[in-house]
Amino acid sequence: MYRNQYDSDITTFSPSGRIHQIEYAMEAVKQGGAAVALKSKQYAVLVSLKRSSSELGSYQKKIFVVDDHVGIAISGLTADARMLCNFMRNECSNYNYVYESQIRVERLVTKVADKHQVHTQRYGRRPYGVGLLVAGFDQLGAHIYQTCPSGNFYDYKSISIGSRSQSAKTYLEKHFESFEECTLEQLITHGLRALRETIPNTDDTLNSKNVSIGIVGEGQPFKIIEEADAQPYLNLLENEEPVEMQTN
Amino acid sequence: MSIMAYNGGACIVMTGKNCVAIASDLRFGIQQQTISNDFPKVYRINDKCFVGISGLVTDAQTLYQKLVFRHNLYKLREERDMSPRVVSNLLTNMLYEKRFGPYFTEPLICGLEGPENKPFISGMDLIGASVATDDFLVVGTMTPAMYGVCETLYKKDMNEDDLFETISQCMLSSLDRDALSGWGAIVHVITPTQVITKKLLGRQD
Repeated sequence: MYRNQYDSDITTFSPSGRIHQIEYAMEAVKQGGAAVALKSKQYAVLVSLKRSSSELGSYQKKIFVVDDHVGIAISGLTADARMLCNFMRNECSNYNYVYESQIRVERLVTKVADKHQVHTQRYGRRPYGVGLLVAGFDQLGAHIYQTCPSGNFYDYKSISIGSRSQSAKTYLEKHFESFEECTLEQLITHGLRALRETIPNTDDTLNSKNVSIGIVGEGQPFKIIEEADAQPYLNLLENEEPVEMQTN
Repeated sequence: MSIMAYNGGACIVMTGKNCVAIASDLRFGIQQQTISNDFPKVYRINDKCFVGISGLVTDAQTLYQKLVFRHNLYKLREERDMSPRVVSNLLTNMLYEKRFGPYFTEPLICGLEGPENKPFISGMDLIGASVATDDFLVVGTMTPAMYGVCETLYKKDMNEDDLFETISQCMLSSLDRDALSGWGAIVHVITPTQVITKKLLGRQD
């Protein structure tokens, strides 16, 4: 196919004006486990599906604390994500050291996006194969951002990335207008319901082993809720009837 | 005049039975002129570890801020607090990195180590030569006077109240013998359950 001639180098454009290596990197993100992010006025919530390589193994960590007011959920190459997470932690601490205040979320995300961009323009350095969902809370309120291997970043009200995330996006599109006024519990429940849409019917449902929740907000430093702590929220989910997709 | 005596100041750490205490004076001056009488030199790293940094104030502040930076990164990666022994090790490393252009500070570390809350104190010079003992350590502009009174008053295995009394008396007596430290003192006593902080009113001169 035509594509194959122009896709081996990050520094080569295709005749249609695309850089295929970047698009392939974004494919890696689409293969990762699903993650959902949503926000209200006072809180930002991350919900993600952890994967394990086998029954014997543990489930791979998907949500990371970056600072008191920021956390990330990852989808794609976990090793690349760890590097970016380290970078973000360093930047937050550095900013705190120099200015004695917390870095604003958009500023941090811009730095990450710039880091992604460097790897799309230099020969011999491949792009990071990971997409981040950044949840943060600063003086301007709650924020959700998505970063891409392309170096773009997007500000969202709610979003989902990873494999089968389209189903979660459909759920979020139906309900996002009510998120602004939701309580923290309602927000987490919405997130779990959206995440549930991404599980193929043949697999396990959401359980405390494969779900990871991250919350941050007004008066709430970024906290990861996992394992036993996540069970109450999963119970809230089970008590309701399965969601009927309205078709108006 | 030595650069270490430019701002003046004094710090003492002492161990007791299942507790440690750290005290510093409150004077901040520029040579002979006193600028502030409310400037403690003891900084909290976490609930089980305090650091007292004497010497040049600008370096003490910077060293503390860098230590907080490293401690925060440590907490994010290891998901636990730094123990006092680790803080001490980190400080010696940070100071020796600047071997040929050092921070003009002499830090003291005190805290409770591990789940048994064993008392731990250590001190080092400006390029990170550290020593950990089990009784007391002093740094500052009046170390000869502080050594004398600490040697005399110190007893092993004091409880919190006795430890507080002893370290306070040592501090106040030494401050009176030195022109560059004084204006009262602040004492922190660290026990497994709480940190007790008290300000001492001494001669205001």
